Amino acid sequence: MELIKQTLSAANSFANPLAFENRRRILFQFTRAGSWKRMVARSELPEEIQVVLYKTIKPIKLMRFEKAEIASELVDHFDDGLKRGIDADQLIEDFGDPAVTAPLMQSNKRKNRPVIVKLLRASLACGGILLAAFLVLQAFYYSASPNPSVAYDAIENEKLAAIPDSDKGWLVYRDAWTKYQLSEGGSGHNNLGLLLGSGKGAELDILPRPTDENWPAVETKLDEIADLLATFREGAKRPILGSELWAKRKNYSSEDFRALFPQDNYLELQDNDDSWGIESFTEADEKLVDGCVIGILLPHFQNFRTASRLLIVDTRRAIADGDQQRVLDNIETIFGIGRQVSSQKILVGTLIGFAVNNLGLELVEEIIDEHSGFLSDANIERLQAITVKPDLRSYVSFEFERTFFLDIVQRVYSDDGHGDGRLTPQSGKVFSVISGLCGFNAEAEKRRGFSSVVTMFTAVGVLAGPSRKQFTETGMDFYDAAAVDMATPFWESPKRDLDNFFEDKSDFEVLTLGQLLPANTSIKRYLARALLNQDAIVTAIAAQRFRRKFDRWPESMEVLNDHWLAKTPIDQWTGEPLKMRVRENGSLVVYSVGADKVDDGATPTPEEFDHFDKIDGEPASGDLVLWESNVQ
Amino acid sequence: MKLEREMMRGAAPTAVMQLLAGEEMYGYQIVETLTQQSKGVFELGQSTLYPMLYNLEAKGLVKSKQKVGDNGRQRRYYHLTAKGKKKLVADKQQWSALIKGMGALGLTRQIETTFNPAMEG
Repeated sequence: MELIKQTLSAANSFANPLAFENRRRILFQFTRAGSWKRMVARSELPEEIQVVLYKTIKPIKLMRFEKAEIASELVDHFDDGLKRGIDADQLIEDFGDPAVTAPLMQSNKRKNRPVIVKLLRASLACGGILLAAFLVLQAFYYSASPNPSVAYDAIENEKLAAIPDSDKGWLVYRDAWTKYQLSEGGSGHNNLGLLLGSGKGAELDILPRPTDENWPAVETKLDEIADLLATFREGAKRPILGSELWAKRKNYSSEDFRALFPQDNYLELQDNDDSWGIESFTEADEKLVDGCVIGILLPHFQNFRTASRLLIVDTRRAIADGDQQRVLDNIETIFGIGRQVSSQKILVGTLIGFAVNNLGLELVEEIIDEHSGFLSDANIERLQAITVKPDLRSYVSFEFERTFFLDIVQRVYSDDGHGDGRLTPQSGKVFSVISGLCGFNAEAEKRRGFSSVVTMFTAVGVLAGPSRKQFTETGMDFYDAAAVDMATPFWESPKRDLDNFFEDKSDFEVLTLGQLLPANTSIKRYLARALLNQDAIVTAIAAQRFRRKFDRWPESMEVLNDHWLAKTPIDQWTGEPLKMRVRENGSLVVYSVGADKVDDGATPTPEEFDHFDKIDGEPASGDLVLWESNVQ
Repeated sequence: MKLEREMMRGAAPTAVMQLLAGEEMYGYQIVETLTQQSKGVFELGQSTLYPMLYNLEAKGLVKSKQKVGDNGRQRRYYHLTAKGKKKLVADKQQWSALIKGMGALGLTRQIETTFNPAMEG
């Protein structure tokens, strides 16, 4: 029983916001009956008393239901007095001064508010403050806009203009590129299809060979493109590619434009730069990303791989023809093209440079495996010199990436004229475009039409995000750190050594920089793999030369190091010399100990295990076999 | 006679609580009863009664409830809470001590005389 009493008492307590009494009181706040003026007017009290009540209640700054309660009580009070026969004047006099009463009622009634009302009022006050703060932030945010003033592509092209034309391979290739329509969108790939092979498999496997039935047709086609092949050989001798790169097509010279954009209506195209094709982009948005360096098209880059494939087919023909000089020239040309593409200092160029170089190494491997006696002693020595020549470390550069970054910064941040600024409303859209270009599901972003979430995020980013100066410094620091990391030997830090870099960075920086900055781990891995392949093939050539002289394979790497190798081939997993071993069947194996760093005597890991793709995983036992001679 | 404002401010809340200790009352009833029982000493300016009631309610010493009175009309009735009862006991002790102190100073007789002129002489 006592418990029931306590429960009922608690239910009616002031502290209980849902108590009946509180619900009834608060209803006055929202109902017509809760009008204190209406209560006074309907009270039938003498007019002079109503005036007193009006003077008492009106100045009180309370909520509607509280004033209604006071009105109700005072009406009853005066009504009681009148019913007891006291006249109105006496009641008014007894009541006292309304000016004194009002503030007292106000302060005491406020103290007496239900908890729920106090909470609601506090919540409303907080909400109001937050809303006001948000509106101020929005106003602040929308008052700034980016004003891109630096044409970074022009700066890069000026640097290129300072280099003599005689150093630039592109100026040699360009006319042939136009004639054969080699850039993306041109018909070159179809016209040369016979020479490029088809089907699935390793690149060299699908390319035509002299043993193929259609080889005569291949030879005819090679004759038809003799000028193109000669152009490759001539152009690849030059140190750099030297191709101007412009964000706006109209800035290209007509010669460059015809080579890069081989569509029939190229003149019309050059005058009308494409829009970004994003539905929610306004004219102002288009203007903002117009000329953005990250939008530079590279329609000719991928086809330097095509050039290398054509040279491989021609090399097979040269071998069939017994033309040693052409074989060496073609291989040197392929390596030269790889070097030139990477010389543009764009990371895409670096990756294509590695790919082209790898095609050259595969061709060399094919020659020493399948045509081991083809080259003279002098020419096989020359082949070794050609193969060891590419300085693959120099292929990696973050130079143009820095430019990309700085260009994005100027399109995302406002500019105070002193190198600083803040995030702008356009930043969300620009970041979304970049996400798309960086492979973060661009189509999905377009479909989503840059939701308001993006805008909200960036508005808050004004507070959460770094200033233009901080963001720029962080970006430049990252590229410096990335360059140091790339210069660190792979065996010292095979994983990306930049994870610590982001430790003290804000979420905003991690999110945005993560989209802008290159995937350093991949580049480092590609470089290590390329170096390993190069060293292995050079070792294989040296071993072939050794065998020619002594009619046996060298027993160890030390033997080769003495006279047959200009520098010791390095195992990128350990920093130690690569391993070499003659198997029982008489074949020679050049191998790396692989990710587990344990020499398993040239026992290969399973084929599906890729040492470089498993950097973060548990390394498989077994070695990474890089080259193995035919069984002797 | 009427009490001066400062005196009234100190004594009136205790007087009101004392009334409400007996039964629950509505505003006018409190004023009326206080005046009658105190023989006019506690003639509260009614404009101060309601702020005082709200204050007592805010302190949790009294509690109000809207209910239908004996005459069938809705009234806001006030009653003493448990906390109010404790406070009243404490106040009574203080008043008792105060009166004793005043008596020791010889003031009580003077007060009684002033309160009841019939005692003079």
